Amino acid sequence: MNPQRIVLLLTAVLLLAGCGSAPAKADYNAADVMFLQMMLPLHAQGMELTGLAKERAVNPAVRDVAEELDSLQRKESETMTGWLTAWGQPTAMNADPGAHEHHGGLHQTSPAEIAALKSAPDTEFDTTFLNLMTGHLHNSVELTKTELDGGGNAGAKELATTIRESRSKEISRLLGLVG
Amino acid sequence: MSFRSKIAAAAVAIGVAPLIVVLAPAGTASAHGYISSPPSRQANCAQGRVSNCGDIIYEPQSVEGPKGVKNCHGNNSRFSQLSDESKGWPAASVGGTINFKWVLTARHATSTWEYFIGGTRIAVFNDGGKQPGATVSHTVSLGGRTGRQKILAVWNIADTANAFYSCVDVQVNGLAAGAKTLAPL
Repeated sequence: MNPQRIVLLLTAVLLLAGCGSAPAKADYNAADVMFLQMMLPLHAQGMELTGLAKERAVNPAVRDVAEELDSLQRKESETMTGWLTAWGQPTAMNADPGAHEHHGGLHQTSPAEIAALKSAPDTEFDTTFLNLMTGHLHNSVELTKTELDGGGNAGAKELATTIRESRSKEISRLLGLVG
Repeated sequence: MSFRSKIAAAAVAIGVAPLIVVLAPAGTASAHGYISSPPSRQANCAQGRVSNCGDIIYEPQSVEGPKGVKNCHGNNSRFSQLSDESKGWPAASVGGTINFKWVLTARHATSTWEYFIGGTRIAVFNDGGKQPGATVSHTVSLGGRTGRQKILAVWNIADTANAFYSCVDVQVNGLAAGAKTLAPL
């Protein structure tokens, strides 16, 4: 067996044994997969909020930020789905909540919050959206931490950085509109 | 399929062991929150309206400490800048009754929401251990106080020993009535 095959075989043994070191040849790891699988539903919930706000926001500035966030989350979701598919990984995540504890647990914008936004009267719509969206974005930013610390894939880590910086700016903007 | 692809496929099928670094210490509450309107000190920091806030600008929702603390940083040493009274904290112009609104990252089981000025509790709202509603707002009377005031708001979590702390600086019926005071950047 040539040296290259020996390296590959040893790598395979390490992978199959489940040892906690980054595989030498794969360009992504389990942290990358879980990050994408957790971020996708967060984005989906975010788009429920921004989808409503695009239609109903009273202040044009709120409508603008909703449209921008909607478009960002949509594009990022396409990218993330593409990667998972290319890696042969499911785009839906492990339903066991305990599986996500290391990533800070499964924070989600719940149906109750989306329902509250839907039923908010016009006089309260913008404020409700701004506070719900800000909380949601904090969760997105929080999720990027474990990817930045434990991810192995360059693209996914770059996306995590982008999300962290972009959403932090949007949070600042949302807070300026609600306060 | 190449040798490399077979190994990759086998790894995926078996499930590569998680390579995750555990960051969150055990027992950290999963929910966080702060007051967005009128802006709390951490909200003003997150907006860049105050300089040298430190880490709080990235996570205004994380001012967590044990219950019963009476300062703006909840005794959380990461965010001690929030209790620095020499900073030019912007004060929102308000009337004698304020409607406070919260940003929550998760609607965690709540015992009470408390509001203090100085050592005096001016309002308390009891959620009795239940989850808060989808949005949280409280109307609080300042009891006739005027001029510049600092309100300490506390979100007491029901099933942990902790609470979340937000200080809000206001100018009641102030000189710049109707205008929001911005700190110079």
